[in-house]
Amino acid sequence: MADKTVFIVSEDPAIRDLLSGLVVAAGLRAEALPSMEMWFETTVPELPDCLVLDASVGDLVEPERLAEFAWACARIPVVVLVHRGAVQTAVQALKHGAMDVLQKPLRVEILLERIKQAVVEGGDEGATR
Amino acid sequence: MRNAREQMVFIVDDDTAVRDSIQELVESVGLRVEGYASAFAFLDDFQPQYSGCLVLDVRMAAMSGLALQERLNELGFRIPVIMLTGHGDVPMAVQAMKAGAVDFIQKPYRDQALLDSINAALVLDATARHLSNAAESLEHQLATLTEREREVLNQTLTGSTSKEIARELSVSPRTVEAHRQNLLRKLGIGTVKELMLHLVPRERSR
Repeated sequence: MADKTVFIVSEDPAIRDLLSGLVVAAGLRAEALPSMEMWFETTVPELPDCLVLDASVGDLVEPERLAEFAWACARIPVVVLVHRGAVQTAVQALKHGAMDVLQKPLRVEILLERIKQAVVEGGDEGATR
Repeated sequence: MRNAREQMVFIVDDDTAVRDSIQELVESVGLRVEGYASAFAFLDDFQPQYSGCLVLDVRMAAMSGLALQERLNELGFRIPVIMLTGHGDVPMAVQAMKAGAVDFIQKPYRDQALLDSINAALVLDATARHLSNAAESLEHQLATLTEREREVLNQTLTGSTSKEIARELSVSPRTVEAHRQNLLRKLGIGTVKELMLHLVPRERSR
């Protein structure tokens, strides 16, 4: 699994550090970015094996970001993190193809399980979808 | 007896006031609607051939909206479900969406948001039914092909030219062409390109 890369997108540097550390400790490569916009500006077609998007700052509201989000979901498993109670963001993310949505405060073991599932099985959850 | 071809909006909510207000809203845009006070009443009445969509309250006494959704999935009923709730949280929304809901709307909802969602669900259901009918009638048409036509079809789908197929089947390219014209006519398809569009995804999904 060491050749698998996980992108972490969050505006919050503390979340980026925390999740990068978690991913690296699990034996995966991590690359942290402050926004989806940054990813789409800098990365040409290189796709990670999984994307973790911290959507608690409204990344999924702007139509342009939403289109990029859907583009990513069609190609790789995407796990979205939302604020407690952000029902509409969660629904929006799932409608556009997110593999899963997790609510903050995060239970890291569940996030890690989803990431591993994503990089190993390409996000195929079997019976649940 | 309901006309199964006409699209209906089914509403299941144990709150009469909510049911009436949605019913009124949906009727105001000219759609046909049927309300049910419980999941059981809906299950008693619903037939899989009914087309339309289902607006479902998550929290109900006896059988919840999520439980009804699960039951419909078990029964193999593919009607699009819009979940409506007054007390939604993220895990509940995720559960409903993963179980196949097309939308999850919180009360108080905006009338237009609900109508948009209903319209999208109706289009989805009509499209899904159309595709499944088309797939079924293609099955019937495929059954009318002769053995030779089938061979020509299979080789065409793998990308062989008339000449290659002719050599393989030890006939002339003109005979292959004739078989191909016949099979296209039987399948009601105009060109080989269209044939590929219809049949290749189907073969792959097996």
